[in-house]
Amino acid sequence: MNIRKTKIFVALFFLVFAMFLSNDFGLINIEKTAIVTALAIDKGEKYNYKITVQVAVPEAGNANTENPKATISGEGDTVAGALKDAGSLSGWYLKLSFCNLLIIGNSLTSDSVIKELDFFAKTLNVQDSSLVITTDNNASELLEKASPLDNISSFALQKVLLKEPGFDSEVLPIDLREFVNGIYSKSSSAYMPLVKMVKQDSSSSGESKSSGGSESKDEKVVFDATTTALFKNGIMVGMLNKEQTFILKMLKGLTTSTTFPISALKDGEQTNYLINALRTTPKIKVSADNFNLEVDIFIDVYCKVVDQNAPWQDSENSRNVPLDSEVINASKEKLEKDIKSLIEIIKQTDCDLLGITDSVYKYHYPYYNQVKDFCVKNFTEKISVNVKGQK
Amino acid sequence: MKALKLRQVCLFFIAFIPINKLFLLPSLLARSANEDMWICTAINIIVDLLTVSVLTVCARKTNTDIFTMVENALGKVGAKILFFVYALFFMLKAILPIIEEKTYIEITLYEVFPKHLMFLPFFIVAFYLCIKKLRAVGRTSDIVWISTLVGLILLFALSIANCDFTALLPVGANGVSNVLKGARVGFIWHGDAIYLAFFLGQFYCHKKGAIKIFLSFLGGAICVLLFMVLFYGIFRSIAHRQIFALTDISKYSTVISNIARFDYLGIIALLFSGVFALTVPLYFAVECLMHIFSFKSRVLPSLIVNGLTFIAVILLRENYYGLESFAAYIGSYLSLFFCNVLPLFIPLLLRRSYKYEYTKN
Amino acid sequence: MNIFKPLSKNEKYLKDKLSSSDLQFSAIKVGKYSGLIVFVKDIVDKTQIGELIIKPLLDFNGNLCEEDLSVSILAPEKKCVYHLPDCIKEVVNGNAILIVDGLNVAFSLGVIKVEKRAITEPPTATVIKGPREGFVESLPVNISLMRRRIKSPDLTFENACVLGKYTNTPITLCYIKGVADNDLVKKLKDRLNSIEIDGVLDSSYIAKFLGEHKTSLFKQVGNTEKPDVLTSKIMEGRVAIFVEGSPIAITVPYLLIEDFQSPSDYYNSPYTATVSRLIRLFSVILSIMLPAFFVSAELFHLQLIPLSFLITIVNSIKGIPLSPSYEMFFTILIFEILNETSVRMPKYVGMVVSIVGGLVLGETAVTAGVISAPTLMIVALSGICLYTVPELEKNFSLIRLIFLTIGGVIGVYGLVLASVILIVYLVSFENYSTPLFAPFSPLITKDLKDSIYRGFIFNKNSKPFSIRSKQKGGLGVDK
Repeated sequence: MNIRKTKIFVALFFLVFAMFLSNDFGLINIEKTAIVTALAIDKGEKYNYKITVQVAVPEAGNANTENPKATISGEGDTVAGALKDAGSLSGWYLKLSFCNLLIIGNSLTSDSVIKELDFFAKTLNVQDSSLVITTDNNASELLEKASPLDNISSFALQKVLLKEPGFDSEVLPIDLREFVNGIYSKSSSAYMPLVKMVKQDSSSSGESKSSGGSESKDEKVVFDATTTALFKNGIMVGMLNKEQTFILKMLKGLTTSTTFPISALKDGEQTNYLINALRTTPKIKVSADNFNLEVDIFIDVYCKVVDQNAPWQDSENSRNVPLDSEVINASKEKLEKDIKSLIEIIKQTDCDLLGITDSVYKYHYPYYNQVKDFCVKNFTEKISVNVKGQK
Repeated sequence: MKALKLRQVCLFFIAFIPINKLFLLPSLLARSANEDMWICTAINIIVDLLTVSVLTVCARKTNTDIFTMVENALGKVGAKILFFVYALFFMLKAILPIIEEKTYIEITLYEVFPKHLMFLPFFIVAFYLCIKKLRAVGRTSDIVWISTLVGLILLFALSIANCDFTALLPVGANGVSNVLKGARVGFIWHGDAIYLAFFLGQFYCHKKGAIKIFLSFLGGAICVLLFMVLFYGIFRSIAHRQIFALTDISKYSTVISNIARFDYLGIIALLFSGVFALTVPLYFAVECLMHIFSFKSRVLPSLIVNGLTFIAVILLRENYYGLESFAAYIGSYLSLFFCNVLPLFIPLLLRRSYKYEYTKN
Repeated sequence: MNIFKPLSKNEKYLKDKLSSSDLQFSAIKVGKYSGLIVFVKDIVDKTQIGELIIKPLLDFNGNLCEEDLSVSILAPEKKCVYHLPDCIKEVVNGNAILIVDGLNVAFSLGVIKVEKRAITEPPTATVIKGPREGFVESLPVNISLMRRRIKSPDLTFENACVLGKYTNTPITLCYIKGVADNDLVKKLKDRLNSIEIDGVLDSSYIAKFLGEHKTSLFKQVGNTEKPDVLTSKIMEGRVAIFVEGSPIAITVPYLLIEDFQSPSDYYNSPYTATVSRLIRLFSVILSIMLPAFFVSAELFHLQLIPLSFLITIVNSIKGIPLSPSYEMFFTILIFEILNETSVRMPKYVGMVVSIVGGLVLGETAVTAGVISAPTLMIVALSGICLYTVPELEKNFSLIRLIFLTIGGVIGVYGLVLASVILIVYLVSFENYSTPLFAPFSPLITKDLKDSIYRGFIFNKNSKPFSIRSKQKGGLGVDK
């Protein structure tokens, strides 16, 4: 019996070994696989959609060689059809599991972008941890620009859209899951960064505004992602400027050690400061009293002065010197003003960025059905900003 | 000397209970009950725990195995009929999770592969596992519980930071009917308490041992509950669309996006435990056939059980949604009956078995 | 056939049977009687024969009887032999036979003097700290090494049997009475007595017979070349088997975890010992899984590889003529060939192997685009990792090939299935009622103190339950 078992085992092993050496299961050769790093969707010329994919092209030889990028385009009546067209035109098998960036062109934002993004949210080939952004022009243009930050523009864009809270940036990135979650939630609201290519003089270096730069033959452009596009039911309904984006990021608790500029009167002179908000504790509480909604917005900020455009006094040079009251008041005013302008945009666009509808649903369910249609437009806000810190 | 140790029975439940419920079940429950899906799971768990408590009391009071007990109480023919039905039920119970896991592996791990051949190796392994004796099952659980725990801890640790626990509010907003519908759907995936019935008489159980078994089962069940909570907390309104949640819940961690998808290590550890978890019902189907037909060796019944299940998987693979509908309705009631209701009669069988032994002696 | 009284008859018989040129038949005088000494020239101490046997017997004036002659012979080892075939056996075993005319008893005299290898550190078990003695091919020397370490009357050496139709190799059991299981000793003796073999040249010949699963890939008996290791093993309740002519002692029963332990673990701090053991375990898993995982990731699961590493890999394999499976298999084959060559190559040409293996086959092959750098690195790492557990290197090398084959055909799920089969095989594998995978499966928590981690010696207050030894004391201080 043992000999028989051994014979069976040996026969099985050789059969499997023969399969191993034949290596023919219809596998896609790794060299024929196009590793897609980013994807741009625009309105097509002949068909509904034009998809442009950016592919990392490996080169033989030295593994440290920087890889040139390649972009492939395809058109189709559906997103999947356009992808198929792109793959068949190039002869490559498009591997989407490394795609970390989806760009929606502005030609599509006037209609529900969920029609395009749903394919990526449902398929398991694309990670729904991919970042989503929109642009003020054609999405494919963003991919076709080379960047000094990285040879591959999608990598450069991803560097701009960093999600780590410790990184001091005014960009409010979002991934596909969060975006789709927002659209399908009770509030049907979501946002995504709007990336602009801004012309910049070649002589000015400028402060980096969370941007990566690129060069074309004739002009330099800078990627600016500090604007945020707002979406309601998948349609773009408004935009937040840099300050509003910053305050929204602060209210979501996504800022740590981030800076903002203020201007305050010090010794009779207008002085500019750069304040570092070391610790921010936001709280948004929604209360419903007889169908009247009140939203309490409270931020507790612990700050430090990073720089000022006036000479530092001797007394200011020692540690733990408390902040001047002018600085505190100016910071408070600035933050309150930004919060008010954010609330104004929220009410105008009916885009529930603060999760008010969800809060009513969770904590005040008995009122929910009555107030759900107008809870974003008709609420009274109570803003309270507490600033303290040291120089 | 008994085939199993008490510790192995406890580790069996920790190792194998959570696995099969992590693939498709979360999205199905979310479809029925949305944020109350954890209540559906809690209901399934409570029903199972009830059965486990009854069976642990029986385990303390008997050294006879279930086959002898049923034979003493119902006679040889009655026992054979009952175990034949149980053999069929176990094969049915195995099919849905096998197809589920097969589909999961095909979609998430492979892009191009001859799908018909893909799961044949699983059945070869299942055949090998089914020919081993019960002692090997106990010894295997001594090892597998580690991989289950490691996989779960890794996935939980990576996903907990992205979970919004307030998404589970408000409790009960979806209505009792939706919650009960979800719980009904879940019965075919639960019902693991029945395995304890087949372990009766195979291990020594003292009073504290009964508590240990109960707590082990509870531990495994809590892992499932925690998974459901994390799943809904991460996906919220799109939870019902996440058909294979296992790969998805941990990938939003910042650590993953910076380094690599090492959450796949946890997934592979769970797939490793999953092979055993999928084979457990097939194993007990073989046990039933062994006692019905008094086979001398386990090879032939293993071949029959695994062969039939393989054919069923091949035939049903294109008709998965039909199978899912069957499982959600008829399958769930069958599971509730065979796994939770019938075992409650074991104390009566015990009494009849004692009487039989007494009159025989 | 009994010994004849006339000397000439005995002499004729012996000369018929022992016709080799290295045999010496010396006629001597035993007082007024004639005698004959028969011995093998090159393996006896002739000085002892002269001083202790021939010289005292010249002046023999006692009665021609067994007792008087026995007293006159000064050799310390002597025994009476009554049959001529036994005389032949004694002669070929290196003893001298004395036959006296008129007496039907012969004397076997222990005057063996064989050149022995000096006691050195065994090359397969080197330690930085700790004893450096190793067993040699001589059984008496090995026994003396054990006696020096265990000065207890319970230490028992039992001549189990003589094996080998032509080699007549003595086999000796060594155990501590009261600690080793008597049933185990009996089982071993029965098994040894049932062996029929032409010759036993090394302990590994009989190791195969001692296993209960004849065709298993895994070891079923332990082995060691070091007396200190053997001492600790038999103190835990194992039984050792010595084979004349082999420096390797066999121990039964065997646990897989034994080969992950090193003698230096007990001479160093338990913290470093634990880390070393964990490294060994991790290395073994890495060596088996890494090539298979890499091939299956390249073929089926690109998404498992981080993007930057994937681009590096694709850069490296562009232009390589072989598919990933072939490439990995080919590289492992080269490594195994180099491995085999390095063992057999004469040391004077060892440098050639290093240059050929390292520079030519390694670097040049990568530069020429025959194999890729990641593959070469993985095979090299896998090969080095195998040697952290040298006892099991050959077994795991085979398992590595099996996993590579399965990974290349089925992918990661195939590796999972193969691991399942391996684990189930190991947990259900038993020898002499001892599970191979103890103390992990069945889980014996008390034995875990000296398994993959090493507890403090004062906490080791019980013998391993896995071995089922009779006594329940331990290395630690009994409270």
